[in-house]
Amino acid sequence: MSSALLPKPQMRRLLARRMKFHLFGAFFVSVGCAALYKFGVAEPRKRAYAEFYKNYDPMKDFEAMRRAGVFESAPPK
Amino acid sequence: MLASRVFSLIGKRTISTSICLRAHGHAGVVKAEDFSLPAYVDRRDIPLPEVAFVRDLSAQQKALKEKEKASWTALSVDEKVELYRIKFNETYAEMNKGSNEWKTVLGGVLFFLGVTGLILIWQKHYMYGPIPHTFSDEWVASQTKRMLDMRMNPVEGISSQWDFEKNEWKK
Repeated sequence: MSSALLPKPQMRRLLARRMKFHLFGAFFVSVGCAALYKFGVAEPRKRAYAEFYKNYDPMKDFEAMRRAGVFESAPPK
Repeated sequence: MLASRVFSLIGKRTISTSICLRAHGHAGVVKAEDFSLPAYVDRRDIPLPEVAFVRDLSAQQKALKEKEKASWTALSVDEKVELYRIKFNETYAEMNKGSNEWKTVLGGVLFFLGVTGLILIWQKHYMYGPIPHTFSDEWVASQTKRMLDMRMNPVEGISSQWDFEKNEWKK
């Protein structure tokens, strides 16, 4: 035992403190993950699809595919 | 109580032979095995273990235990520490102290991963036959061309990386 006493450690509300810390942490981590996914994956994907279909001409695409010869029932002219 | 009732139901024959033999030798009292007695443990969630750490006290320690029965203010600091060490093996600080075991574990894991890698290299060189012809460069090239021709995955996938006007990969 040292002549200067050690400071008395935290004796009470240990679980409460831990729970508060982890509740906050869990909330922010989950919200962070959701936000990251939304702005990293979902939004770019929505934009990509919107861009693709903005000026999409399916007939032109079909003719290009037919010319390349991938169709069995629509041979190139 | 219930246990003795069970014994009288089943009959005395089921008591193990070794204990019976010993019972006859010691006037009918069975010597308790070490493992069946309460044990001392160093655990964070058991602050006061069932028994003291030191079981058989030396003469000096016995004297100290006698002194403990008097006023505690008469004990010196060293005596108090000695009494603590009689009762407990490690302090909480010693118990919770980390070790360098993780380095050994990590080293072992990486070492055996390396050994596995060597085994795999040996297998590829000496054991496995040739890979299918569909992995050759020409086949993969015509495969990719066909994928682009049929506009596979045009929004986010492979066809979105190809520039159809200039006939080259997009930068």
